[in-house]
Formats: sequence, structure tokens, C-alpha cells
Amino acid sequence: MMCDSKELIVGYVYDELAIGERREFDAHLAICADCRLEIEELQATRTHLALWAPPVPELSFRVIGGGAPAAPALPQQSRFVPAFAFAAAAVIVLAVAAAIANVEVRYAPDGVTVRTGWARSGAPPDAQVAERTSTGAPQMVEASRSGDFAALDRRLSQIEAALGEAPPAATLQAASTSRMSDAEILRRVRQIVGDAEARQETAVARRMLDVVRDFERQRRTDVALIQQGIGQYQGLTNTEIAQNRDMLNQLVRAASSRQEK
Amino acid sequence: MASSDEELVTLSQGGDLDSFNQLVLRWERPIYALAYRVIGREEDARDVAQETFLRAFRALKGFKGQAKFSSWLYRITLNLCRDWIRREKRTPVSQAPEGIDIIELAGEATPSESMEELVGRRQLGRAVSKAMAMLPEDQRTVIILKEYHGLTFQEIAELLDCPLSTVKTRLYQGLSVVRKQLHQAGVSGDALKH
Repeated sequence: MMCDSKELIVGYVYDELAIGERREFDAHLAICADCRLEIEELQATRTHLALWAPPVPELSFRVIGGGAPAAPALPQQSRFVPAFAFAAAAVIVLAVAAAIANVEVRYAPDGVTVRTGWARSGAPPDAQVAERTSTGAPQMVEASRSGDFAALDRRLSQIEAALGEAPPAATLQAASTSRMSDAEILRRVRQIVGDAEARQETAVARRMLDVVRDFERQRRTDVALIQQGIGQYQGLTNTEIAQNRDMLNQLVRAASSRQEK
Repeated sequence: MASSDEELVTLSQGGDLDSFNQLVLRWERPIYALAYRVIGREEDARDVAQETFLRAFRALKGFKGQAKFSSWLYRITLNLCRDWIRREKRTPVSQAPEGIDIIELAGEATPSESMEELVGRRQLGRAVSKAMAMLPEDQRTVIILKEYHGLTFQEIAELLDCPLSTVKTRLYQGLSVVRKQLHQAGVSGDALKH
């Protein structure tokens, strides 16, 4: 019966039999060669199993972040962020940057125009004004933006005027001081915004003008070189044609002199 | 004196991140080894181990200590491995390096072991890995938990939610299959006797 009990055999191999069971099984092994062989083979298999070692990688896992472990957001923060998330973030940052910078590139018959600056409807810098007056199509765009700016300007003026209106007598002095203060702050903010925008646009426009100028200079040099090369090629070709023509004339002359003879 | 798992768990439940990281440090290697032996791929085993600790961290408040912390981790790991096997729709692979790095081997050698013996031991290990990969998941899991993690039959039964007799039967069947596979691979019972 004991020979059929796999549970007893496994229990014996792993030494997890109760003391009584073990004593009983030992007695059985003394008289059963088959069970002795099976136990030996299973123990040999266990010895082989011990040779299977996993690799030893550098692990050093750590959960980072603060707060109680029960907070559901924490493990999410601890996760590794996939690469596409970084890419998406980069795209968003670029989009926001472009929106703030409001970069505009236009091609017109008289050259390339590049403009930048957030809230371009604000006070335009000198460089931008010059571009508006010197180009065709962009003028319309800028005109509408000037309209926007004028509307915004009117709206700000209205707010200022409303703030500047005389208050009821009851609130008199303090309120009046407050209104003046608000209006002043508004004006100063507008001035700061306008100045910052002007500085930014001027700097970028200058840089872009330098780039365009360099590009144009290089283009002209390249065109001159190409024309020079073409001229040389044409010169060579004309010389060859003249030589061929001379040779042909000589042949014609020789042939006609033979006929005459 | 090092704190016990139970002490560290209690501190972690109180919000002590360092205590939890001590638990991670203590258990990351056994958890990785378990995952590696079940699914057989280094990178995936690493991912499973990492996810195990994240899940444990997330669920730490709900851990009431009915089982040992290690058993709880093993259970999470095995569930993740099972998910991996289902997701990948394949049996575990026996991942073995193509060549043998002599320098690496030399580092593993015991003082009394020659290089030939060491290479033989490596080849035997590879044969065992292949034999284990052929086992059904339930038998393989029981052997891994018993052989490499030293769990008792009772602990395995609780971990796998199955009767004690089932654990022993799976173990016996699994060992028998491995023995036959090794025999077919030319590994004899006295391969290690020198």
C-alpha cells in the first residue's frame, strides 16, 4: 500500500512526514527496493534542480515619493513614465512655446518675413512696422490685428474710465485712492507687456534678418559660381564647334579640289 | 538588529517609506527569482518583480497580516506571472546564453571545483531549465515554491488555494517529469558524483 502513496513518498523526500509516519515509512523502505530506488531518483532530481540558478541582475527597486502608502496616487507617481509620454509632453511644450512666441513666417516677392512675439496685437516694434508697410498681403493680416489691438485698447480704456469715474460720496477717499491705484497698475502692466513684447520681437526679428541676409549673400555667391561654370563649359563647347567646323571645311575643300583635277 | 518583516510592514503602513524600501531590498531578489523561474525571461521577470512591489505598496493598508508578508508577495507575483503567461499565450521559455563566459564561470567556481566541472554544472543547469519549461504551470509553480523558496506543503496549499494533497501530487508528478526529461537529455542520476 505504501508504494502507491505518492504523498508519502513526496513527504519523505522533503522530510515533511510526521514522526510516526516517517518511522513507518523507514520500516517499509527496509523491505521495498522499488520505493528505495524511487526515493533515490527523486533525491537525485532534487540535486539537479538545485543547479538551476536565475541570473543575478542589478535590481535596487525603490518606491519613491512621499505620503502614506494607502494614497492611491502614489504608486502611479512611482511608475516609470513611458517614452511616448515624454514625447507628448515635449510636443505640448513646443506647441505652447510656439503659441507664446507666435512665430510667423511669410514669403513675399521681396523676401522672407519672420515675426514672433506673444499678443502681437500689442504695440508693434519698429521692425514690425517697417515690414507691414513694405509688403502686400501681410498688411491685411496686420491690419485686422491692428483692429483687434484697437478694440482691446478701447476696452482697456473703458475699464480705466469706469474705474476713474467719481464714486458715491459715502465711499469717498479710500475708494478713490483704490481706483487710482488700479488704473495705474493697469497702465503699468500694459506698458511692461508692450515693452517686453517689443524687445522680444526686435531681437528675434534682428536675428532672423541676419539669417536671411546671410542666406541671400550665400545664394548670390552660389549663383555667380554656377554662372561662371556654365560660361566655362560654353566656352569649351564653342571652341570644339569651331574646330569641327574648320576640319569640315578643310575636308570639303580637299574633296572639291580632287573633283576639279 | 534587523527589524522583522512584520515590524517593517507596520511602519510602512504608518507611512514610513524607508521601511517599505527595506522590505523591497530584502525581498526583491527572491521575488525576481520566482518570476524568472516561472516565466523564464529576464526582462519580463524584472518587470513582474517591479510591479509586484508597486502593487504591494498600493495595497499595503489592506494587508492585515493573516499570512506572512513574503507569502503575500509570492501570491502577487504568481498572479502577475499568470497574467503574463495568459497575455503572451505561451509557455515559459528556457532562456540560456549562447556562449559560456569563462571569466564569469571562474567567479562562480568553488575552490575545489575544476573548470570542466563548472562547465558541466552549467550545462546541467541548462538541462534542468529546459525540463522545467516543459512542465504544466501548476506543477512548475509547486516545484519552484518548494525547491527554491522552501515553503512548506501547507504554505503552498494556502498560497495556491488548493488542498494539501493536490500540492503533493503536483510535486510528485512534476518531479517525475523532470526526472524523465533529464534522463532523456542524458543526465544520469550520478552526473554530479565525482
